[in-house]
Amino acid sequence: METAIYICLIMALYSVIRLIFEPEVMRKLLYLNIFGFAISGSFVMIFPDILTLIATCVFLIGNTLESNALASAYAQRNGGE
Amino acid sequence: MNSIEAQLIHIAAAVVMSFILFVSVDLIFNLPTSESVRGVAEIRKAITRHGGDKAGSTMMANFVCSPDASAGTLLAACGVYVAGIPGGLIAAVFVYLGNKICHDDGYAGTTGTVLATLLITASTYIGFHPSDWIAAMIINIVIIQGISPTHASRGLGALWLLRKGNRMEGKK
Repeated sequence: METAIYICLIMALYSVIRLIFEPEVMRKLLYLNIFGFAISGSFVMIFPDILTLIATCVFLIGNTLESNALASAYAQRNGGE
Repeated sequence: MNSIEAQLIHIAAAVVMSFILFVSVDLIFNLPTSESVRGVAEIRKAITRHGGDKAGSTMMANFVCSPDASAGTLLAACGVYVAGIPGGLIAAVFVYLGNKICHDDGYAGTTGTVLATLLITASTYIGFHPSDWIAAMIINIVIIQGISPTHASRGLGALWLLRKGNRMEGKK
């Protein structure tokens, strides 16, 4: 189990490094998605509980909703609609 | 065999199986052509600007913008890890609700979650642990989105062409 947690945390760190050095805003969202996945996975493994599962589901789904909202707002601003 | 070595072999096998599962579910539900929200088009443009494939990048943008089979597989693994099959089904309900909030049909995500729950539960009888699947999904998403989005979108685009070709032959 520890191996899986370390893999998740290393991938989260990798995504943050890529996120920092990515100049384009829309491509940052791809790395933000990896970060959300990695944090969700490690969260459940560190605190295995049914409430953690619900919190993880809400976090990951909220993460995709936020990305969707950010990308939509960015498109609206650039498109001038 | 050392237990860490055994776990790494399990994770490698889970990477291959979960990739086949969620990519095939997303391709069956036509994710590379679905642009239900404006955000998807914007992320697709950001990937195709650097030479990425259109269908593949639309699919990647859908991974980011709505909880589909990739998020579903991860949440199913988390659910089975915590509470077995009921945990996976709780995750499926959340994925369905998340899809509805995103104005998506929700069939790809929910189907992927239920199938992943069954597959992960079955794999525990042959020595896999649900944590292997969680790590495998993180590795999969890093391979798809994190290393080179341009090349990943071309790979997914090639898979989409394969699927579309089969469908065209079926129509004839």
